[in-house]
Amino acid sequence: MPDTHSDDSALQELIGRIIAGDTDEFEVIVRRYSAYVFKIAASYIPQEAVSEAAQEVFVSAFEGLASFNGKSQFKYWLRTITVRTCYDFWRTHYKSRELPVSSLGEVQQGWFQRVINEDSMGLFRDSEMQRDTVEILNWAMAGLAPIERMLITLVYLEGYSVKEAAQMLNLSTINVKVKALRAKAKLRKKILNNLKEGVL
Amino acid sequence: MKKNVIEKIEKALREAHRLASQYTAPMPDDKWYNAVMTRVRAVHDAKADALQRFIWPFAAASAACALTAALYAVFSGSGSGYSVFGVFIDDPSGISALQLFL
Repeated sequence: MPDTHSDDSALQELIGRIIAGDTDEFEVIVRRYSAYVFKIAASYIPQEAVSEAAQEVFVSAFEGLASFNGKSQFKYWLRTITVRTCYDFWRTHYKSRELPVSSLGEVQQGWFQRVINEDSMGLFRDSEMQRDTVEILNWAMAGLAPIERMLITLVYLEGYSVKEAAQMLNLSTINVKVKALRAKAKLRKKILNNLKEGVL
Repeated sequence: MKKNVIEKIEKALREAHRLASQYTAPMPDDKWYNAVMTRVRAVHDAKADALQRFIWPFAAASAACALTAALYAVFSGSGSGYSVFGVFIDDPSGISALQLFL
């Protein structure tokens, strides 16, 4: 990802031309950062929604380009827009309850058993195991409120600090800390409640 | 025991998330780039249209205000504008007004 000093000044010039009215130049930005935005969005929302969300990200970035002050790197500014767009995705779908909440099947119960019995994480080299794990993750997150889902992903799965998560979601640090802890407790409770007797 | 189990599960979920986002991110194609740029141009055009719609009523209102102020200055017989506008009005041939700028 090009973000050295010379690239930064070239990027600032490019942004200046776009703001001045050369809209077609925005395609340079879209082509340069699209893979980056797709990758981030894929971490937060279902694969089938990534393409549309990424479009929203670039339209929002174009609309807000004049507000980019160059203090942070452009890609971090874009990352914040991407995270907020993914949050909006979950808010929309949570309200309409479009995503089904399935219960755990035998295969997934078997997943828990394997994870508990295995000491290393080497078992994730198995693609079938990876697929089951993604299903487990989707199942575990399904009942969470949009903000809880985003915080679990940002803080516990992606490893961002509470401060970074707060900045990306435009919330206070205290608010994020409380909500993240609450979301984690909720997730743990759900997992424990659904483990078959004898697993523990 | 319970804590150990939940920690293992959480570690597994973290690993799964890492692997899933590494391998399954879809990639944009030309159709996608065209769709983004079409939307971006539409946003730009909508902004330009809104500006156009705003500019002419604003220009007309500003001109009306300026004219009202000028007429008031001339016919009230006072104010700093009076002498300047008086020169223009009393000088149909424009000779005196021209001298102001020479």
